[in-house]
Amino acid sequence: MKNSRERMPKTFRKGMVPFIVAMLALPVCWFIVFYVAVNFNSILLAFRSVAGVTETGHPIYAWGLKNFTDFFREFRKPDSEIYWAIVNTLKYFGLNVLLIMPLTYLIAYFLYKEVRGHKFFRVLFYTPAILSSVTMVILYKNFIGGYGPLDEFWFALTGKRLPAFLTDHALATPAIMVYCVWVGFGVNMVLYQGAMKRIPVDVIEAGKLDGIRWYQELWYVVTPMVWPTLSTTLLIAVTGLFNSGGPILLMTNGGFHSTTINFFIFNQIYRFGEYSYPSAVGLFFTLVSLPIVFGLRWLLNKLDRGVEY
Amino acid sequence: MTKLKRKIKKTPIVFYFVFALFCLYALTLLIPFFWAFMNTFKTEIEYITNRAYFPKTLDWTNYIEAFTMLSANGNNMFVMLINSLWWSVGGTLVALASSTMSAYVVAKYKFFGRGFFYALALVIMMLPIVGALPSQYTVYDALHILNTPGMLITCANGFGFNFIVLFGFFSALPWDYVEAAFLDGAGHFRTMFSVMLPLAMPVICSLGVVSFINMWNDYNTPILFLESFPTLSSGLYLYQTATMQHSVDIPMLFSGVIMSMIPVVTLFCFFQNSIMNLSFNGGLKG
Repeated sequence: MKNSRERMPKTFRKGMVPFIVAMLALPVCWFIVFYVAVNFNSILLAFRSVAGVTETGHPIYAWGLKNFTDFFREFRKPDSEIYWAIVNTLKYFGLNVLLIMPLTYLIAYFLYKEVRGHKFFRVLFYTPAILSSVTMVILYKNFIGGYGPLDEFWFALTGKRLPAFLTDHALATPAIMVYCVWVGFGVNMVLYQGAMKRIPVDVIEAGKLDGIRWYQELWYVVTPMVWPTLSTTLLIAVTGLFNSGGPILLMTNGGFHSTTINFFIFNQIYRFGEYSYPSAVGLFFTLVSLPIVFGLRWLLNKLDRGVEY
Repeated sequence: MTKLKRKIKKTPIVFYFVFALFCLYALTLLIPFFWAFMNTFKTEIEYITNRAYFPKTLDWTNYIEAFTMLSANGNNMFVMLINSLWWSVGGTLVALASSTMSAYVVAKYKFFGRGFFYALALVIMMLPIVGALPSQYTVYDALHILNTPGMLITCANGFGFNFIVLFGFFSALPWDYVEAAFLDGAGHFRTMFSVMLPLAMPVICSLGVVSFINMWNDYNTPILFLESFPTLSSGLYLYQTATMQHSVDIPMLFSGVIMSMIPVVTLFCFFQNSIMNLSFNGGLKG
């Protein structure tokens, strides 16, 4: 790559600049408008609030920290929507990092070890990732709902009816979390399995000859070899920390203490036509997660167990 | 030696256990689909009185009636299908055009600021931005693309996941191809379109399929930004909220849901391996 220009034919230089400009025009314009301007506008919105209305009906804006003080006041109230949003978001994040990702990793390992039927399982376990949440949620809701198959099964077994999971303050979020586990293995499973397939066969063979058990192989041989992929997925998960959540809109529409930060922001726009307040909430959580993301990145680079092969 | 051989050949007991667990999980995925499919043959009344068991007759009318009866904001399912198609196909084409152009130029040409673009893609992926939606809404509104097909331009992200994959691909392509094309008298555009792009087609196609599936399934964007153009995903959701929950014709809804899956499942069957093999090569360290 380095000597590419030296190796270019002379005619190559002709028309090079217009070509580069033409090729980059659309991507760069997109970046300026839909990334830089959007995020800059987001910061402006966060500090803007409506102070009144002019005689012609146009809003009068005031600049300041009002959105943020509102946010902190709301947050301190127990049982407020934003309180539940934060609690639930952290629950979903914990679920993802502590349960879904380790399970995905184990599934990927056993598929890689070619458990019987691994080809079929691999395709089937990936399907929730390609089907729309709308589809999966409609199936899930009706399947676990009153007089649905699960309920009838439970009734035949115990003579009792199941509670209405998604309209219960204590059960709504756990029911959505179960759904998240149910559909949550696909993408990372394929990434992990891809990384495992790139491990040279002789490394695995050497372990086998030493007579190591499967969990020793997983921990001492496979994990260090796929560490770059593992740490990347972890980093992506942490980057999405405050965007964690399930399909709240489709499940409960935010009712029954099931809201998340992501849904809260969506709902402010969708239902209330409010733009400044959710921007302030978003900005606050962006600022909180910045040090976490970059701290973790630094830590993962230090901990790097990756091996060259 | 015999002891060693036995150790290699014996399947650990845990593998049987895992197989059993995998079968269980597979059943939890298959049964709901089978159950939903079975219910598409029921009438609404038959469903209400008998949700869990087999239908009495195989009646396909729900599949036909779904097209006219399922509607969102006055758009029936046929309109939703058209909306899903132009939104997913158009958005995919715009996204791929933009990232192919940026990836090719950044990977293959030396110019001032070239390193900046790759770093930019990594930074965009790293920044944990929460709540850009309100700002997106106001910016789209100001640009007058809100609730119009002009929304397609918002897909032209040239520095995202597609860029990173294509950049990796173009960087690994030998420079000799370009050189040969130039010696034959081709210009920059000819070289790109007739030499380099055909080589990249397999990668571009896999990225395209993934992007198409994601856009087909996305319901947030159409709900918020394309109110008058409900797609199958957003439309099937809106149909449920518009109709009172207890009067939703579930068998018909299931028929709609199953039909809305057909394009995605078909694509997945054909491109299964290339979709599943798309992954970051190496990771994000840089």
